Amino acid sequence: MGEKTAIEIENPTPPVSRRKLLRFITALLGLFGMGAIFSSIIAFLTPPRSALKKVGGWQFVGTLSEFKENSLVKTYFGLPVILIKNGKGLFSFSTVCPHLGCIVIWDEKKKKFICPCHDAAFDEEGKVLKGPVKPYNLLPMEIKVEGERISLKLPEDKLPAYPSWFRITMISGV
Amino acid sequence: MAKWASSLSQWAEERWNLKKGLSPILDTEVTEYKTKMRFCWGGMTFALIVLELITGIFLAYYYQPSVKGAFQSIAFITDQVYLGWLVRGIHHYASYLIIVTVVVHMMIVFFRGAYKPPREMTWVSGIFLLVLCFAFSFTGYLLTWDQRGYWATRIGTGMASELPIIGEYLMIFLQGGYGVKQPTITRFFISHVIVLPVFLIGLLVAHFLMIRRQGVKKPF
Repeated sequence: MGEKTAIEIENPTPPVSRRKLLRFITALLGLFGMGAIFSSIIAFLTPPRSALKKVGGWQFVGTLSEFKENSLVKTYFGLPVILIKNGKGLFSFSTVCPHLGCIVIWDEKKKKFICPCHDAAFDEEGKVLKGPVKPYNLLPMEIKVEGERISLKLPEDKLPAYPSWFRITMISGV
Repeated sequence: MAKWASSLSQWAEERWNLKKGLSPILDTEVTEYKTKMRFCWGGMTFALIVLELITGIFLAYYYQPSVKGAFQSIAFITDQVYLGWLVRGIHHYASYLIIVTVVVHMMIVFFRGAYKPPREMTWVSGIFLLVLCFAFSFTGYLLTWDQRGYWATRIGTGMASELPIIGEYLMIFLQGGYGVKQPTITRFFISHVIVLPVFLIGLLVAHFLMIRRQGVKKPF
């Protein structure tokens, strides 16, 4: 060990040099970035809780007071389902056309559900009126009203593997 | 950290002698003109293809290639899966960007005359890669099983059926029968995720090997 020069005495080497500190910060940021990427990948590959719930069965969709007279509610349980309240009562059915699986759309002017693929038509109760799909109606859902609560029974075998999430996507007048 | 990385590198080097194997690839000088923007479009296309492969693998974890499950599984990916909207968005928009970068890359190669001998086979392999990109787009379009995908496929396969002699056979081969139905989705899915990627990787390797061998055409 030689003697220290005047410059070294005036500028002693710090216990952690700037180079080491920068290297440490870079490594830390790199690890943080890698961690964020890997945790995102694992989160992506982990099925959401909504997909792990039991398929089909009775599903609560809302309360009677929420639905106006002459209104339709589109819901989603892994397949699009519609609930209609009109003068005749409550009706519910899948909006997937039994012909080739397109989604039927409500035509306000014609007061019918129309399939955009092959122009099939269904009435407000899901019964087929015309089109290549005849004689198949839209798949009906059983409805249960307990007090104010409305529930729909979804067939387990008709649903794909990822159902059971529920959201009201649209409320509009029929 | 540095010591740990260095010892790991040494450990790998002792076993597999990676430096020697990778030396022809890694120890090549990048000449100044190659860093210009007009020389980067092929590389950008490759980067986008890698992005498509990665996001495609992630999407395949949830996608259901069936008439009843296709659209709903995509809705599930977009609405329910963590960052699913992002992964699907990247896969969707990167596919459009690939067409843009490929066209620009080919135009630059064409107007610089880089397709001329001895690089004519690089150009030909590039043409096949372009055709593969279109095939990826065509097969991927149906997989969403929405109106646009369904009718685009009907039109595409209908055009194929107009070819003389083989037209009808080709249409049946593409659709897996008459009409765009479940066999069509199955065929398009298998083509999109297995058959076309195998051809793509093979052609990319050939394309890159020829570029490495002959080099990029120097500027005027």
